[in-house]
Amino acid sequence: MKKVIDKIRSTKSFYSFVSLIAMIILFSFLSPDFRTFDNAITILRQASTLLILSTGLTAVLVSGSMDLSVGATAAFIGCVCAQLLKMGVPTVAILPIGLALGVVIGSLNGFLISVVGLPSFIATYATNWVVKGLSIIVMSGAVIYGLPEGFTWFGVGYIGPIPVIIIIAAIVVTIAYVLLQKTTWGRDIYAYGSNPDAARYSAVNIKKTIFGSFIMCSMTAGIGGLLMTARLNAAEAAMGDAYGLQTVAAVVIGGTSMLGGEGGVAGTIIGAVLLTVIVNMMNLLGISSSAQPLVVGIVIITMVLIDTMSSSGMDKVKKRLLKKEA
Amino acid sequence: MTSSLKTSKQGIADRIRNMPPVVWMLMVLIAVFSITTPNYFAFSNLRNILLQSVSLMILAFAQTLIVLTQGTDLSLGSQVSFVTVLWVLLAKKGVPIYLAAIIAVFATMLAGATNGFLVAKGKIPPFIATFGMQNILGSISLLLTAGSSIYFYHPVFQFVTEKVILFIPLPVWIAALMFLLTWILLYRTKFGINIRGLGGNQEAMSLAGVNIVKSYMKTYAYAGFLAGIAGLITACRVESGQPIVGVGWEFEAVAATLLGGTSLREGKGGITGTIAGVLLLFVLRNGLNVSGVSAMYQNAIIGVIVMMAIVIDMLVRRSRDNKEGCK
Repeated sequence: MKKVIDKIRSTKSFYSFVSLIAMIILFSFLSPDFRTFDNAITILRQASTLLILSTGLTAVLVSGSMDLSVGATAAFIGCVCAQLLKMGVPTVAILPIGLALGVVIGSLNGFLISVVGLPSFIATYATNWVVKGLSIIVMSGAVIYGLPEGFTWFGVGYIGPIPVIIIIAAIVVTIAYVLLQKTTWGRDIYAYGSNPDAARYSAVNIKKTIFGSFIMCSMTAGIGGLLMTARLNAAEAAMGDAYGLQTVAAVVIGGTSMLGGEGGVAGTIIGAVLLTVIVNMMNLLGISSSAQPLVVGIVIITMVLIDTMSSSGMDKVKKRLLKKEA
Repeated sequence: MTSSLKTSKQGIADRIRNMPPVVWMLMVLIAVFSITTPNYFAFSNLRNILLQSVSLMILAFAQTLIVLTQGTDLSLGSQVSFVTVLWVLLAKKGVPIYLAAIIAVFATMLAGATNGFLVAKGKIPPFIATFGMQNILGSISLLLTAGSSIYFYHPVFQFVTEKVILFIPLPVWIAALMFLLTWILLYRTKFGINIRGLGGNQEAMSLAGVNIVKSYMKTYAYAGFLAGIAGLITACRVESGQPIVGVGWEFEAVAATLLGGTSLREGKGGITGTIAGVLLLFVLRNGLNVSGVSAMYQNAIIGVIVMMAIVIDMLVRRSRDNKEGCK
């Protein structure tokens, strides 16, 4: 029994998970509106966009890099596709176009980082700037709204009782999970993230790893951007701004280390849902939108603080596990 | 340490050759704009660029110090907004204007010290700790002003923005003073050695008896002090408390720092290059404005040029390192 508990405790997102459960129980007592099925679906639906955007970013952080261009990329792809829809391009063609744009932006990041040799923080910041500028040009400073129903269905439609957007999020996360955990490419990302030199000497294809993680990140950003546009039934150049750093927060709260090599998509689900639950509860309690960032900021710091404070304790647990296995 | 000794012995020719590439790019840009736009190279326009760049310049000095410790302070922009709000609010409530200014700057120093404590003692990555602080301060500013701007009139605002000493506006003098102060702190005091040490081998520092937590707190608090001064100047310019005036400045300050040759990897660089980095951004923006480029295209153009500048900087540095290796 102790072994099982140790094993659960040694997963990186353990404390986030406990906090999430504690919050859900607490909020259920506090507000009768919170504990309804409808509200649970609302939370998941709101969390879906953030989760999809954060999924690819998880791969980037696991590889020990950073992508600051997620929000801008999402907005850019959403804007371009909204313009194309307005020009009469059929909905079927939009997804491939969005993904292709994601590949282009991800490749640009990968090129700047692995070929030119820029630190990822700087390279993706520059990309962020350029892409944001392009969005403004694409939109010519205006807002587009009134998109075809076939497209907005992905954002607001239902299959049975479950919103389409949640199903898409589940599919994206599952694919990302399999890619990261079950493929050589995914394991290479972990290897490179935890020790770049060792990975290099073990003949890991570094360029492929970096390009892959950044392309994956921009592709999920693209999907997120499309869904954002479909949900809003509108596109605007600045719509990704709020997501840029929130995605980083979701991934880090989910237990993925900013130093690389640790964590994963499963934790990111917890991080994204946790942030959304807090915002949902504040809305139910009628806390003003000016005050909400205050709470979110405190939660982010506290969660990461708990994580770092507990990691020394966790190291002990891990050692105990290793001893037992040996 | 050895590298700084080496540079002090270099001749002027070597110094020019080893200038950060951003200085050359700045000269090229000014030359291009001078040719394409009449009156660009006029004293009044250059003075204008300097005047506009003052707040970000001071903020970028702060960011440079944080980058030297291998971190980034994402709360600096919100600190600027917070100072404008707090100063104007206190003045409105009847607190004497100078005392209110001191309290406001002290508040950001406190926020900075908290950042430093979270980073050093809590072992939270600076990116996350200061992002949390950004949310907290931004929220407090919005709450204090109920979401809009607050206005207050005092002659000191006009005095600061319009006073000219020796043909140069007072804010530029203040920026120069902040540069001097930061330079002395960075290169002539133990505190400065510690800042650069934090970006290097912390274990060695702590074995040498340096209190790491205290050094971090001091560095972030000093960054908060600079952000406070930048905020006071901003408040004088907009003559009001603006809860979102500094949104995004922290990243522009990072861009200026990196363009100026301070490296996120090695704890190398300094605030002199940062001046060139900030000026590059403002020369670009001003030049595009004066030559009549539509505002819609400006963001993308500046982005592309910044990206190219960063890439060129990287390539030049690499080739220089290779040459040194050959010697």
